[in-house]
Amino acid sequence: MSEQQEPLLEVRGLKMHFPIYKGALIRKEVARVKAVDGLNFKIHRGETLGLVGESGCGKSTTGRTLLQLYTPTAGEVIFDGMDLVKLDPRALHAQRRNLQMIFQDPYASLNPRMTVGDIIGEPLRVHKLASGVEANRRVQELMEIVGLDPRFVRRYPHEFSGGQRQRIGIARALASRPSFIVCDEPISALDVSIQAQIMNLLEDLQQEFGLTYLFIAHDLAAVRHISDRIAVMYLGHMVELATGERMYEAPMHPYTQALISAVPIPDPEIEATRQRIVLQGDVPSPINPPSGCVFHTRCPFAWDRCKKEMPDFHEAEPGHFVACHLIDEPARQPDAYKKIAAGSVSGENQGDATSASVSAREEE
Amino acid sequence: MSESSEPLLEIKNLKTHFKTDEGVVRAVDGVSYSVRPGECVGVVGESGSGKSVTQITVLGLIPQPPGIIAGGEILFKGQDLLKLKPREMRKIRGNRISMIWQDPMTSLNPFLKISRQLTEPLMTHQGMGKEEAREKAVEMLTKVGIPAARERFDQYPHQFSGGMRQRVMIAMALLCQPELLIADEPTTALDVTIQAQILELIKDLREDFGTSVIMITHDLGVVAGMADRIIVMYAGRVMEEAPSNALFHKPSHPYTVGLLRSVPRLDKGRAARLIPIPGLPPNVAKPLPGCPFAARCNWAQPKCNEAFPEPVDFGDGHRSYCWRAEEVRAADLGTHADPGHIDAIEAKVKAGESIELQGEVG
Repeated sequence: MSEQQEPLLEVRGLKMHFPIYKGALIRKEVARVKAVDGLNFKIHRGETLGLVGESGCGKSTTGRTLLQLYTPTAGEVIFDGMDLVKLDPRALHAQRRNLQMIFQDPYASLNPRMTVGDIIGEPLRVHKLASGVEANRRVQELMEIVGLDPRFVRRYPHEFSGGQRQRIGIARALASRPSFIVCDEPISALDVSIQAQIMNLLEDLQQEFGLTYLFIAHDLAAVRHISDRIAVMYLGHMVELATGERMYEAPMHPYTQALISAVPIPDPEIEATRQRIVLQGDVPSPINPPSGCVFHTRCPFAWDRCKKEMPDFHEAEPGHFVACHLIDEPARQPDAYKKIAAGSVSGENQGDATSASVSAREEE
Repeated sequence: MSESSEPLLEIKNLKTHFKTDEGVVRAVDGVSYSVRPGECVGVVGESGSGKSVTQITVLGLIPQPPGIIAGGEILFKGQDLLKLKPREMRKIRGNRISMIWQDPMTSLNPFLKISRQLTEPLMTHQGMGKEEAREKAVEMLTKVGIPAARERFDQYPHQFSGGMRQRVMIAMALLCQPELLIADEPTTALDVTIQAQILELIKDLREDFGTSVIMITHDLGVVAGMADRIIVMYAGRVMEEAPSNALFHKPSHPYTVGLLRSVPRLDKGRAARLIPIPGLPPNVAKPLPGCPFAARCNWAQPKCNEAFPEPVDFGDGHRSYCWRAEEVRAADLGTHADPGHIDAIEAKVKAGESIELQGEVG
């Protein structure tokens, strides 16, 4: 798809550090939480980019920083040709109608004192898109689009179930006809049988309105299902970015390999034969991240260079970005690593032809 | 595991209800299942299905009031736990049956050093002296993979990370070498790489100690890799029970089928659209005479709203509580791999036609 190649949003060198202060009278910055520490990536028009990682890896901070809910410490966020970071408040406010967010917690993200109609209609008022009868009509239309009964327009959030509340949040995000929506863990607070309803709704809306999504979640299976491309974060850094198929069939970063192998698959026969890479230890603190590659403390393949030098996030094969020293030192690649990166482990049940051709290409 | 071996735990027609302002909530409404020695049983269900309340009842921890044990038996090695005096129950709980809770932060006492929390069960249940208990506890912490266990022994829970705290919980649960370990969503609060560590640990310990495990979870993936048998619960009732393989490959209850089809699978990618279960989970405060799933079920018939189904037995411990279990099983609708085909079957089902598709579906 050629139109997909045009980026809607481009992120360059994005950093978001949160200072930690100490001292009651003289406040002094004593440390920084490096929640996001130098991201470079693009989101194409009309695609869903999935963003995965474990708690504390900076994925939610990334989403919020893209929307300028935090002022980034450094970097550029270029949306439709404009650097959002440099916009003055008025120009940014005007842009906000194009950039919306769906939040994780359908309980905390809806004002309990506002009716559903007021909640969904708020973006219309804020951006002066509609008022009076026209606004009411639009609210009812939005409720229908997301599968809520428009007769409930005067009800309050507590009268709805979790899944229905998430629909309210989605209707609110759609109200200003945005082109880009950050979905921050939109399904993780919902019951299994409801998650599928919301995922299908998000897919339908994307088709209908040509939306571009950044879909943030810790559930890799859900992300794989909904995303065109997937980015993996670890401790404030992006370690890998590729299409869903490539990421699953031939992950190149040792962290991605471990992450994929750790996700249980609901099929006992497959589970019985899968090789699990169990990482040792816990994620280090982002206040004092490890030197060099941030993953080296848990990486089964790390050597001296990984402790000293931070690997570049670069395009290792067309469309497949990765930050790992193993890529440019093939001699150091252990057999276990090579096997997975060449797509001969998890890709078994899939198209063997594609993985074989790719591994051949890699060896050239 | 042969059917003939004597069950370790047998839950028979258990009913745990709660009195609330909105009426009697039938959290557990006639649940029966059993666990054999050395077996790992997975209990799957969504929030409000009664999967946890069943086990809290087994441990005798239901507050009464508002709770009412309205009926049933819980036989642990033939002895009915519901008939025991609190003093007798205390000898079993934490000793012969122990539990790992979902949230390791709230289930460890933040004011007590873990040394105190870990030696207590040994001193209470096994009459060990302080020194002996300390030795045993440190040994167990090492076994569950806490690095430098001796040095960390006198630390407080907040000094451990989430995964480490869950290991402390597991160590505590295993100290007295229980015959039955109940794990209630033991990995839900943890990240996937840590989840993998904890699940491997539970597997290893099961092999080492021969402990039976009841694994309560909402995650079908977790039980697929762990459980020998799986119980599917919905609205306080058992819907289906089966050996793991049979449950995933020959699901015979529309709710099980619905769950399997609505869960995205990492190995399936974008290929197929998910097939959600329509509607919302029921309100257990307003019980219906029939099957609680009927309102959301594509297979429902008038009969389903009149009486709760008798179990249909497919042998090898595979039972489905559905009036149309045979048809569901034959239709073979296990995954969302081929939605077009499924739609066609479902249309037939709705129209009330009979299903004759055996062996036809890939």
